[in-house]
Amino acid sequence: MSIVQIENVTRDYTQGSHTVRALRGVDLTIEPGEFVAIMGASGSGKTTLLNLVGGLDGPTTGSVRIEDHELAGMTAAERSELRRDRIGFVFQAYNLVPVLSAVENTEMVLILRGEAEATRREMAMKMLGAVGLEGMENRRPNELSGGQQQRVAIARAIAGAPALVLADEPTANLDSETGNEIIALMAKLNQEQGITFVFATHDPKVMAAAGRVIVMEDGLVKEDRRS
Amino acid sequence: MLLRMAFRNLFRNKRRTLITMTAIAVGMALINVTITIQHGSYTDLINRGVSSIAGHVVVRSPGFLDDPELRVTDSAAHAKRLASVAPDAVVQRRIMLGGLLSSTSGSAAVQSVAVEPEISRDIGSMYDEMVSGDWLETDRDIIIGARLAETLDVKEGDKLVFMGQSGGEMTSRLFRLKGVFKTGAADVDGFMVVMPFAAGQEILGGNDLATMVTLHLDDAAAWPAAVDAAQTAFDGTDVDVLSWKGALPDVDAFITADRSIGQGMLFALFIIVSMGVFNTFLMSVLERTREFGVLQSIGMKPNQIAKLVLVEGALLGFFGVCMGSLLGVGLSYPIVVSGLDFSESMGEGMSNAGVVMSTIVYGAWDIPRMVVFAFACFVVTFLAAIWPAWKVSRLEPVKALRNQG
Amino acid sequence: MWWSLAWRNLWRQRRRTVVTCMAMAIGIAMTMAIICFQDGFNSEMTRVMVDQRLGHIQINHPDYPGRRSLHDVMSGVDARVAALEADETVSSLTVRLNGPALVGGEKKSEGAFLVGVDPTREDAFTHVSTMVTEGRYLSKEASQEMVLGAELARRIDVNVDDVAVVVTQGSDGSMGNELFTIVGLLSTGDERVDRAGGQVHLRDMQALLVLDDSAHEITLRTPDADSIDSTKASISANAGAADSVVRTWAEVDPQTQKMLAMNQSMNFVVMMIVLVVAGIVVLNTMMMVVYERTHELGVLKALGMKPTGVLKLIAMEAMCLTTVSVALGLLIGGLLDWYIVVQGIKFMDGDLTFAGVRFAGRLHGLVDPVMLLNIVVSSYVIAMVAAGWPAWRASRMLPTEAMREV
Repeated sequence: MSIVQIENVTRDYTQGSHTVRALRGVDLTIEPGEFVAIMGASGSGKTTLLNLVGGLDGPTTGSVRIEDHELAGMTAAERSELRRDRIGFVFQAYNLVPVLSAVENTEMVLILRGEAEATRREMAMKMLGAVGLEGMENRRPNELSGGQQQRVAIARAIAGAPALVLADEPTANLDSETGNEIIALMAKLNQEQGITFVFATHDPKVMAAAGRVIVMEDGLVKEDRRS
Repeated sequence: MLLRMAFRNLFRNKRRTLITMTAIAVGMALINVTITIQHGSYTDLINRGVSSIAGHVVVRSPGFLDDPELRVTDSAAHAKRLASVAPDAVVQRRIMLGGLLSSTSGSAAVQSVAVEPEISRDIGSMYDEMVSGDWLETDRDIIIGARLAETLDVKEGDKLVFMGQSGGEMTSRLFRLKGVFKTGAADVDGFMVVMPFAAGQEILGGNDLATMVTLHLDDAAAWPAAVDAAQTAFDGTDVDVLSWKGALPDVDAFITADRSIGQGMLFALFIIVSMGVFNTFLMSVLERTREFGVLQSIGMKPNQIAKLVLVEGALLGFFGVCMGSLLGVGLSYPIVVSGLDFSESMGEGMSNAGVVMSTIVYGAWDIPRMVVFAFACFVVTFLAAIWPAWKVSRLEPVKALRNQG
Repeated sequence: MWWSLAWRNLWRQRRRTVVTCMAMAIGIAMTMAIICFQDGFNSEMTRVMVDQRLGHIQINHPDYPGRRSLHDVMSGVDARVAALEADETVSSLTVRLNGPALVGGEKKSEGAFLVGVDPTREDAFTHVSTMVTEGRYLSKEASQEMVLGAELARRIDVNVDDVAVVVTQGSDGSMGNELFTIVGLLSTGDERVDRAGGQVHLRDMQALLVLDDSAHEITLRTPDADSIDSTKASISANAGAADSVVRTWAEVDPQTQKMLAMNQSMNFVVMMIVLVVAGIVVLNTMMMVVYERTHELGVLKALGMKPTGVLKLIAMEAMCLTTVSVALGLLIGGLLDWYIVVQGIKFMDGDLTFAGVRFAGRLHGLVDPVMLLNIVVSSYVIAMVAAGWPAWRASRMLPTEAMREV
């Protein structure tokens, strides 16, 4: 079963009096374990596509299936549950809740799922270890560097053993060395644990590491190359 | 977890939260102080009214309000019956009589109160205000106010003639001045005299008359039960049985009026404070739009986020009210213990609705009212968080994430 | 240009500005309403006590005010009155002789404060003829007529056209009684009159008390409150006679004066309380305003705006905010005041007696322009103080710090 199956999808936005067609008919399939980068200029529909893949939004027409759950026609609450259970997110910045510590941020998803206190704390600590942040679990985001914050975001994203992790420009705010570390970390998780990663990015480093690059232009997929 | 987050969220912007809490606290404290002062002064007014010209339970003739000359007959029997209602309480009879009091030097229009000397002395009233001479002993004794004594140019031992008319007969009776009282209120000190009950009855021509028979309780708060019991006991008789409220309508009216003005101010404060809280809340919620978007993206439902905001509102309200109550109690404490001295502005004394008010106003704790207002304050603060919370529940993650944060 | 910028800045966050303005406006409006009500109370009190009972200035026998004895009279009253009426600093005047008496109908009598007055002068002074509820006021000439307080009449069970017996003690010690015809009933607001008093012609009273050409009080009014002291001084200089003393009403009845003063200061207290709380709301808002615009202010500073410029900008925004609030507050408050003045507030059934004045259960308010000005000025002051601290902080921020905070 593919992780993501998008068929003939359009997405329109109304801003005031005029309507913008962000996606004009996109077909896309993503298989488990892939490391995919989506590229494109602003206005190309790249962010919209990512939002759909991530279940943050639904299509205007067409079908979006995530692990065989059809997004079209889902209520906001249903999409919420889907995200909680099956999808992880890493954003460019402001990922974490400022008032919670690293471990508390990480275990957020588990709490939302209703996991028992003991098990979730254990799991969160394990995740922080996996991203190389042992000893930092009680630090607040304002006590962590940019790179460390991104690591926590990644730990949170994988804490729930999701089918898919979406990363929206995760390295854009980082210097090149830290950026490399983050990419390497995500690649490692992809290879060792088989977690599917989908990126929206401009960063050539990410594209270099990606097994598949999709280029968007004017709401359509222009290129879809595998390396 | 929600509680933990809500709590920490509150103190993200310490200054702003503190200022908002201060607004709530100041409003709350003012409410407390106002309630305390009001309760103290009202209780004092009621107590004084009750002891001087009424009782906790009052028996008098129907139609008294229209014609104060109407009196009850068989006063002794009524007194006995009233006493049976509350064995521990004190029952006394009084006669009110207007007339002219003359000395060798002049005359004055007076209102006389004829009381049973021993009983009246124990309850208080004029006995406590005596400044010279002694309390009533014989039937010929009379006590007058200091101002009146000056006008009539008399001192203890001098002769005074009281002239009044009742039932068509003009009577005059000789008295000797036994003592002088001073309340400080000019209209009382120059207008009121106290004579023995027996003397009053004689002036009225016997017949066991009294203007009122009153019951005085030790525990003032027990008056409703006593009134009920008295009304049952006097059922079928031809007299009116009233509570102090019915007997002192002016006092009751004053308290109502005064209280409403205070209430008006408090209402205004409530509104202002809740607007301030609303503003703060709205801002703190708008600031976190992006953060809420992130929370939604990891699967938190909009209702859960709305709940978070409501909890923050409840916490803010709770702490603000606590702070305010403490502040209010602190400010009220000296007022309860040492009172506010109004003698600068009230002079020596002032009468209100026929009752003399004390110049030092002591506060009194009105716990039930304070609790109600604290709760109301809390609710008002909480309500201010509802609209922001509702806005949050309608956030779309995509839009929220596009925000700068 | 700067005002325009400040004004526009205000509306960037429309909802917040509206809410803040509403808070301040409500504070102003409620203060206006409460003060309007209190002033109505005060003015009625002043009308009864000062206008009717005490006047602005009183001339009495030196011992009279303390003792109020029958014998403390001034003689040669007619001459004095003539002299005073020629005086330009006196706008109106009345003469009173007090005779406590027993007044009764067929069945009942009561002690009463009877006052002998010159009806023409008394009416010009207090407009008492407009306060007659039944019948009419006294005739110009002495004709054994009497007007009684309505309450008193009810209690002794007499009506207009009845004959009442008046028993008094004369200055020679003898008790005398006379018959008077009741021509009217009064309701003046003064408890001493309505519940226990009445008026007869001065000549009749003088005859009753055997006090020829005498009076206890010559009560004067000056054209306005400011000239009281100067008029008192000039009259004292001219009067000269040893058997009289000239005093202002505040000296005659310090208690009333103190009470009126206290009521005035209560107004001030209410105003301060409400406005301070509103000020806290403004403070909060201004702080948020400054905080949000940190980056932008940093840019302005980097471009060369001086710290005082930033201070001025924030202050101007606060001024604009206050002006909107004050305008709104005056509007709402004005509507409330109009209602209170024209319709009045019914705050209980029946009447209320306080410190000798009888208030009808429906009280009409009074608007004092000076107080309004007070409220407006205080609002500005408090808003400026509230905005002061955030403005000062904003002006002191370094441009680089500010721009780093995005």
